[in-house]
Amino acid sequence: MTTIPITPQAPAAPQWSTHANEANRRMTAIWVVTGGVLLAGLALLGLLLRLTQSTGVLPDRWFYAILTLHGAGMVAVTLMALAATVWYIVRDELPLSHRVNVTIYCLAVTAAVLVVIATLAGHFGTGWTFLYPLPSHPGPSAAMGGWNPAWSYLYEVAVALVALAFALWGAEILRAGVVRFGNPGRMFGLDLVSGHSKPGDPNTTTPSIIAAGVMAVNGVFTVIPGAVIVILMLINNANTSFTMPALFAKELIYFTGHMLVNFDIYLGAAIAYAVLPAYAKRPWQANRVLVLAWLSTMILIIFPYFHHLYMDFAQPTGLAIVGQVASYASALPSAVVTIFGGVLLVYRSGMKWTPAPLFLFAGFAGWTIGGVGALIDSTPSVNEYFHNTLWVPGHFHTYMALGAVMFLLGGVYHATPLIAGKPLSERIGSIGARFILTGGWIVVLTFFASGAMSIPRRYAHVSIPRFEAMATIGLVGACIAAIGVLMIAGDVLRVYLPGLSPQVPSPPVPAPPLEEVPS
Amino acid sequence: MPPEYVAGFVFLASVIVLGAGFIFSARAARHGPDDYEPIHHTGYRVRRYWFVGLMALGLIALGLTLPHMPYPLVREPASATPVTVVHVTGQQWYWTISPSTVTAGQVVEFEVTSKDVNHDFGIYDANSNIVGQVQAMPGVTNHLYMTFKKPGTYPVRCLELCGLDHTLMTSAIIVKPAKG
Repeated sequence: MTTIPITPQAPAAPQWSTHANEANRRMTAIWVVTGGVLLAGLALLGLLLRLTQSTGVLPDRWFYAILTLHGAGMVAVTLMALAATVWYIVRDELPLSHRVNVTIYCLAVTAAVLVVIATLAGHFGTGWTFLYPLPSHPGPSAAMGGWNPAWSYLYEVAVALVALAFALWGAEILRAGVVRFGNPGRMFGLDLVSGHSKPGDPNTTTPSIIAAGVMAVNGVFTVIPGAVIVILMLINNANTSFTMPALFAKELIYFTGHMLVNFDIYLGAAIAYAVLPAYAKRPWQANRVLVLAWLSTMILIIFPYFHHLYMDFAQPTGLAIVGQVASYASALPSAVVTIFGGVLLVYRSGMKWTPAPLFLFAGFAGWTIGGVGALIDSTPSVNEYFHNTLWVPGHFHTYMALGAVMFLLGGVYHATPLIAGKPLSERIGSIGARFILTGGWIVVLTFFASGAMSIPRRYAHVSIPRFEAMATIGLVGACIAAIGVLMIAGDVLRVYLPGLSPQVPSPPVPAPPLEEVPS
Repeated sequence: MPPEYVAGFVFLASVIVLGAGFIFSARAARHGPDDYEPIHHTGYRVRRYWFVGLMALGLIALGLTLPHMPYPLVREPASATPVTVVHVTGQQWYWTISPSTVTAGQVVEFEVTSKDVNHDFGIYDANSNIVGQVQAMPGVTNHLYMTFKKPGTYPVRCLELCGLDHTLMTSAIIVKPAKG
């Protein structure tokens, strides 16, 4: 492997227009405020769930409804907020449509409203995975406290809207990328692979655009199975005599869900590529290895979803083996290129750990350690003991809350001077980060330990050994993290709400410049 | 030691090693700034070993774990071996298990299905550790082969969210001692 020469980042593409940038700025500010409020609220609902498991404070029907709201909301809001942040990051490189951004926002907010109504008004409580045929079969009698199947419509339509919103995001990223680079190959860096361009050449692509493009391709085709399963389940709701094979339905649901969750973390990487170099004062360029890593991710991201069906022994054993091999293989590009690259980038860089790089670096740690927990669980012989235990929320909270959300916060802290005209408080950010990281790691490690003790997931308050004790430890962590969440959410509102006024001009605050680096 | 504890300790060791690595990197990042060219050059060489090391680790893990998959392809005994067949049906919110008493040391084949929604047939030991599980899915029969080594009562829990009274969906398998 040859060492790739280091040159400054590729020159920025033309600024598309002042008006477009101002509209983009305001729209991003709206995204940040909406996402910030929703994420903070959903995080507090997570605390309420742990409180209920510890003390039984909520009735079961409320527990499962809030569990569904927390799970679906966190996945979808994190996804859309990350997509909006990536949109803002690549806005100067790609001629993205403001109108499409507004449409995506409207779809996402509509979906959020529908899920809130279905869960809080209708007590829809299937968990975010809404496995067929549970939405239309809440139990022997809705009068016993379950939900009326009519509420299922709202939830299922909301899922379709989120998949549609992300597909629209993907389609617009791809359209703009082709316009900007002339063809998809250059957008994805195939000219770097073939040797026609060198890293840092003018008009070569960037790591953020490659990552966004790969997620865009996957996002566009994920909407198809997502739409199919939602339509079939809507028909089943309307007429329960219409049935389908439950294994087929589960495959479609988990394929769609698995992809949407993975988009979260990979979009986080797109943010890290763009932002971390500004603080390390070193370039992070697209090169042949990075391009090949992301192109392999485009394929490898698809097949690990079989690991969600390991305990469905009717699924052909060969597919379980594919699931295990693909789960292991899909970790390689991330671990070898992106995470290793991030650590290398900051090594002896004279880094000052302000909130933006702190959150980004913490995101790499959450992604890596959560990934190890997921890999252990993606081994069928281990999954027999961990499937549907608290090990599962252990690993996905690690790479979602302590990975993807950390990348999101890193991006927001970096871009806020540009979006809102003034920065978020470094002091609040630094203290808040310490609360979130300390409490967050207590939460996730308690989940992992509970999973190793065979404590089931998705259980309301119940008297089984170790259940309450472990929930109480997790609750302590959640309370510590909540302090940081509230501090940062409050600061976001303080800084952003005045800037949402249309009279505020676009503030010309530059991001930290790159220093001269050797070529 | 139960397999879940072994996996838990492997993970704990990973957390300690990786956590120490990230903390070391974060502290090292404060020093400098050093010239990036030699760091970059050395880093790319190290990355090659990192890649080969991870590949090797993955292949070793595959080699060690694939033979222990819980599927009938691996666990189904030779045709001459006597097997006790237990029919299990999940329904909101109870289990029908027939017969519910089996013999220690004998291979048991659980034929597991559901009459309504997805359930998860989870078998625990007396120490509240999972010893085996398989999904109960409507329209599908899953086959789980197990051999209980110790006599006793093995609690059964539903592990797949199946509605409001999901946590109440419990039962038990009685394992009696082998004769003689």
